[in-house]
Amino acid sequence: MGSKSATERALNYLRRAPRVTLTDVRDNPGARTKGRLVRKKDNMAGQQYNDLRGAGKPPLGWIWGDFYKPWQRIYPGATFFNQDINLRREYPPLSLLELQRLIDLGWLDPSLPIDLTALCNTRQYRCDPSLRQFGVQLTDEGASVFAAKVNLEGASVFAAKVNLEVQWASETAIAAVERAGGVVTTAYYDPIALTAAVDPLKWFEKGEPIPRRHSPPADLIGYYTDARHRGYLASPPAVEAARSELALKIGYALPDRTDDAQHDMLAARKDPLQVFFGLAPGWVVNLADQTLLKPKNPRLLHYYSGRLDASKDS
Amino acid sequence: MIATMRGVVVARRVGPLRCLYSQFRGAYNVESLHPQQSSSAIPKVPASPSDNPLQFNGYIPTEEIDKSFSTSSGPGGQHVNRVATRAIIRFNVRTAKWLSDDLKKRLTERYSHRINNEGDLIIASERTRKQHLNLADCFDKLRTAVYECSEELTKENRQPDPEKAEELRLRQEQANRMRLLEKRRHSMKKEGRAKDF
Repeated sequence: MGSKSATERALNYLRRAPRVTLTDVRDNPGARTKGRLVRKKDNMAGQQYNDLRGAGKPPLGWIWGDFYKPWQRIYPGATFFNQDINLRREYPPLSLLELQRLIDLGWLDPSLPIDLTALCNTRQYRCDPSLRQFGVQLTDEGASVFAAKVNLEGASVFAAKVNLEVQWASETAIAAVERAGGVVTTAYYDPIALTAAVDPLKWFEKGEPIPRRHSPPADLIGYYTDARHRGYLASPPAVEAARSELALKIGYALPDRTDDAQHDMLAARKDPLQVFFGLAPGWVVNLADQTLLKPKNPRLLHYYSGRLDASKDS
Repeated sequence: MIATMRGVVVARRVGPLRCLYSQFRGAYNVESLHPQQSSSAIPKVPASPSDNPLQFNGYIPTEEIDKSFSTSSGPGGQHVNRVATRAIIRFNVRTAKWLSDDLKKRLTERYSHRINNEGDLIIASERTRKQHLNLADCFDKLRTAVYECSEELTKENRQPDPEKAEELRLRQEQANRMRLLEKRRHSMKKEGRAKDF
């Protein structure tokens, strides 16, 4: 009995069991419970007090009590709206105006790639993974209303030539950056990799090896493999074609990239598993001794290289 | 964590810029994800005008079109008075190298209301609150205009297909037969109402 696998034992049981009918394919008692539903007596349970009606509103779901019992937790059975409120992803926005300001005031160095880590290091932008925030969202506010930067055509444009790596970008924001000669890439960071990326110093001080980035979840794979969003998993020729298409659509001439001085910087891209430029997953950064500790164990190398097959030889 | 590793490599400190772009290649690097790009997988974006003089492939050389910006009309106080959000594009239809003669002619006929005495086609937009979006709208209007002319020309100049002609003739004959049949039926219906004494 002990030598047989669970599958074998299950099949043996089935062979000896009487005929299985539909009534046998039902939940055990107590397996599923319905959440509490809103009843008639619960009507107006909350914000009807006069003074509060005109005031600044509390977080979604708060009904007159402490903040740890919002409506959707008291009534989990009411799934018709905001059921997934705790699962939703947030992307704190960063406008082009803010980005240009950070560059002009010296917070960011445009001669180096600008990614989430560089932005968080300025402390002018904040991304908190514990609040379901998943990275930078680039918005196009300030694409044309930045009066100090005027180009030959008489239009005021976003002028910095940057290599940007963000997590979400609108089409017009991508257009504004590419028009100036820059590069935008959208890349996914899973929560653990994100924790390392937003505060690398804290991560290194823990003594933990640099994590490897995992692939995006199923509902985001489509976004990051699309060249129109400049996804990091899209093929480079498709991204080139999307660049030309966007230039035709918005109506600007793509700048030629013969400036070799910045070519290496603009062409720099992280590997899909990499969190920091120049550092590989699995390395431990020893700040006290200013050294890097790299693993040699084949199992670790196999894991950190992203391979899935069971063989330990990498 | 480090103690359980069989061995450890301690790297010396390297200069910042030299190691910045040193490439780590994992199992999911972009070249492995897209090894052989089939030509159908990459969308073809036109980089020059179409060879067919009646066809427009969507290519507009933005450098050859003059863009200018001015303040928009309507309510809005200080913002609408000061910020140049209205986008205007203009180019001379006669001297445009990216349009074939047929397209030029048709464009001049259909959009004469947007062309001034010098032959400049002028398109303006103040549809949105943003300058760059208005500029995109201008190009959208221009592209649509040229596409419409191109579609009209293609439709007018299409050659009738010989097989199609035969099919059409057979269909016309069938339609005629049905028409006569219905006429006879209707006539019989009317006759059937007459009283025969």
